Amino acid sequence: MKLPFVIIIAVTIFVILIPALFNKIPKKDGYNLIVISATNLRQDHMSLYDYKRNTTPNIDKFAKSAFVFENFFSHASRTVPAGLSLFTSQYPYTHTVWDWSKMEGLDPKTKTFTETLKEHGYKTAAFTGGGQYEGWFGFDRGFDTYVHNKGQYVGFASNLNDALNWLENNKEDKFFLFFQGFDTHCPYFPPQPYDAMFDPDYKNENNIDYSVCYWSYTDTKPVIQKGEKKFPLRKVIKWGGTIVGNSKDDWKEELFSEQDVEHLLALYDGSITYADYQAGKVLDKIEDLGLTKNTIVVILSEHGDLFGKNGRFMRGGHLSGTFYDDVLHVPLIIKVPEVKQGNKINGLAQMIDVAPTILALLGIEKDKEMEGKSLSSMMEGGKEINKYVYAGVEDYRQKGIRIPFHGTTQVDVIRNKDWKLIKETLTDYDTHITTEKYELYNIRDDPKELNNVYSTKPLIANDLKTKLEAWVLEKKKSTNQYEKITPPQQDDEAQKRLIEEGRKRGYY
Amino acid sequence: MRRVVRPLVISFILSLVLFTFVFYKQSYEVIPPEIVCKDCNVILITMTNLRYDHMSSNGYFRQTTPNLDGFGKESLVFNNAFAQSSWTLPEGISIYTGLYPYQHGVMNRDDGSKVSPNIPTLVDILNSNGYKTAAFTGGFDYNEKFGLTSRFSYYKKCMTEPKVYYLNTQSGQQQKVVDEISQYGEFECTIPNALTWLQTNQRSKFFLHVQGYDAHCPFGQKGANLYDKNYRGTIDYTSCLWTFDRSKPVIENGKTYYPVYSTRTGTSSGILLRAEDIFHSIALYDEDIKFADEQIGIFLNEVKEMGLSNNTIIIFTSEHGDMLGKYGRFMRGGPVRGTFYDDVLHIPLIIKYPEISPKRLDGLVQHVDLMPTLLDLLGLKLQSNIAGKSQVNLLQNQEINSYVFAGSEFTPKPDNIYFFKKTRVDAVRSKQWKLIKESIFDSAIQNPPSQTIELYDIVNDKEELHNLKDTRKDILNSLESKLSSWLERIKQ
Repeated sequence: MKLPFVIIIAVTIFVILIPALFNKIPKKDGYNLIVISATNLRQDHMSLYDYKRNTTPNIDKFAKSAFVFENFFSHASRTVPAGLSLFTSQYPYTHTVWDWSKMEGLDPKTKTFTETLKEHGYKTAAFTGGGQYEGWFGFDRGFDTYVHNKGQYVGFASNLNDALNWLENNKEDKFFLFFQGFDTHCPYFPPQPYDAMFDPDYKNENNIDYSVCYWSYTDTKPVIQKGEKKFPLRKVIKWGGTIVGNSKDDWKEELFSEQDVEHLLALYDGSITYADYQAGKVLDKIEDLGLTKNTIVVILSEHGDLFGKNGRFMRGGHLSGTFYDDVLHVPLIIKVPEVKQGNKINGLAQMIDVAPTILALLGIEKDKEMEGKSLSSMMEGGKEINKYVYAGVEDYRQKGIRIPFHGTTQVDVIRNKDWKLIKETLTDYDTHITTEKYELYNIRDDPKELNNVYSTKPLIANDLKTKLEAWVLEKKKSTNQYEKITPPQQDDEAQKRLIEEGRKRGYY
Repeated sequence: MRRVVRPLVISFILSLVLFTFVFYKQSYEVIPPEIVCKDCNVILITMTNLRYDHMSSNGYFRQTTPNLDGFGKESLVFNNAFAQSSWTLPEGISIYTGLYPYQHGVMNRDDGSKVSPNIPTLVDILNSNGYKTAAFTGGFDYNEKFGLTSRFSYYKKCMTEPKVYYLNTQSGQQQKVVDEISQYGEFECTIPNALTWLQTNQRSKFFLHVQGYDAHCPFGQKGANLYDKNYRGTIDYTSCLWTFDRSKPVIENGKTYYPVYSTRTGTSSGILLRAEDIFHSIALYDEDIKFADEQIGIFLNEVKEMGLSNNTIIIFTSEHGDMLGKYGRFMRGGPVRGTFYDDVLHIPLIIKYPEISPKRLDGLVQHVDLMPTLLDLLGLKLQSNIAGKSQVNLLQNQEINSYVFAGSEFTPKPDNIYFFKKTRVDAVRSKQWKLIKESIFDSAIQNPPSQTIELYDIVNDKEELHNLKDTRKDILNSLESKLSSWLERIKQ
């Protein structure tokens, strides 16, 4: 009687412990790190996440032995704020860099995880596709080598050989390689055969030039032309980064029929497949060089993109309307050496969690200014670490080049797996009038965010609103950025003073 | 009985004579024969963008226009001449057709509008009366495509190579910007061309128009060392500094600034001017006027030396003025709204007429009056109905106009990168009162236009600072009805 009881207890304890032992992820300072970012890649357009088209066969294969995060979210709809959240593990409101408008990069005191790795003896290199990855924003902090082709938006292929050479030359050292490309960023113009692989029968009846970006600058309303619904979109950049707009014709609106929008999506998917092909070359190289055993590989995207949801295409103009899941829900795949069987992780994760996770996996203590949490416990089967994820950034646009709104927009989002609340705050520069708009979605039942239930679910709305406002208050109080870009104080009497002074001097 | 009848008869006859005389005088529309200058030549000089009040002879404190001042001393100088709109394209056509902008309909550079072939212009009338007609302009709003300058028997425009800039847009991209205004030709090109033409054509009966954009922005392209030499600002004046709407002064670091845009950078970044910077831009504007005046002086001298003075009518005017920062408007960029102040509408008009003693005339006149007046002076008949009225009787001190009018609208094309809404401004002005009515149409929403109304007592408030629309309802009502009946009338 006694013996079996002890044996049962022992066996039970053993059985309980086995998975824990098995799941325990080895953490080692000596591991290398490779982060691959395909900017603008939507999670739901990857076959890895059950997309209808086979867009990411290479990543799918690679992900079999990796951790695939199903609920990973960005904090912003543009590359600069989201990318810097990746590197600093700070929300955009904390790191305060969102675009060129302020001409200010990261605070010198703000530390990126690259700098932390550098302090730990890592050789560091970044090969970026140019564009918003301008080093002075703070992206280049801690990198020994930082490649950025100013004024260009290029894909993986442009820097692939350089990146692989660098990898080969530094494989003996402890290294961190950041490899980023704009393949999946507009214009969606992949080379053959990727340009026609998903809708080979498309006829370009409207003669649309797909080699340039098409944006909406606000919630574009479709127009009816010859009985057909069409979306008016405007050209932005040519492939290779040349600005369109040298001739009056370039400012013309192009009307997209529904088939044209479908084709845009097919080209986007083709671009993803092309990016996947390039990423596959990197993944193969890692294996060829025998780096699999000691290299952590992360694949992600800073944000996704919009293809007509509520009249928004791409994310031109102000921020309003750009914080749907199309944009915020992005892929995250982490491969850790010695873990043979990966896992799908359903728990909520967000961009600021990536750096702490990486550092945890490398056995390096995270910087105390980092706001994210390590996801490693979730990878080990532990409980979910985030009750909510957040997004929030503000933006100042001058009325002018194609933007009919002059002022600030601020968009804040709180989300869990069931609900999502979007709060938009628009402040008109001229009138100082601020308007607030709320959208609440039951994101589990309505993943496409079609039915705004803000007015019919007041209890949930108020609860999320309170939480979101508390978060904004806490994060923004440290910055004062909003004061910086609110409408400047106006001197209403100055006109008269000027006229009187001008008259006194005899000018008017 | 007789004692009663005779005085009655006499007084009856006397009243009849008096009445006839008065009636005759009232209906006197025949041009006194001595005033007709049959087969005279005509030279029209227009210095676009010149304000009336920036000529030294009109009381300006800088000696900007010594040559034109001298010319004015031998001429009829109109103290109260006004434009019909705030920019060159509609204005040039109003001068040549005697029609208000709403009537000739050319109020947009980009919508393909041009003077209808059915509308006779001064050029057509002179052409058919055996005149050689020639125009030398700085181009752009005098482009042939607008259907006016194409009618001259000889037309040549001066345009320089456009300046091209590359600027960083908000998306961080380099964008090429062609500064069209840098192409606007000036007198130093149009005047030599005109003189060359005159040398071979002076023996024929001719009409010659010489125009220059010298006083048009960018200002101070002739060295910037004439006025305001102590200026120590850092503003770059080599492109136009303008606004597309009324801008509001802002306070930054405790100082007041006036925001403007540069044609070079578009609206992607604003430039903040201090009052001193604005006054310096005015100094540069004055320098441009001075330089243009020198060129015109040379031209007038050459004309005199060719011996044309006795049989040539010489007219000097400007299509419109400039806001120069008043009311938050710089230049007149963008919609017409905010540009109908006297800074823009009050323009110089000088007519040198052989054998008429020089004088300054106070009567209200407007650009549409120029064509019928000139035709009367030449003894030519006008075949069509026009809005303008001949001012020959004003030369006899009989004032013709109690009011002058201005009105035009602008509809930006949907792809316009600077502004979006249709605007329309109408104004009526007497010697003392001025009403400006502005409408903004939101094309996206079919709402009635939003309107602003301004009423000024010009005599006591020359700067148009104190809007009296609420305190002088009587004047407001009367001018509003004048304006609406004017609009009714010109519609026909």
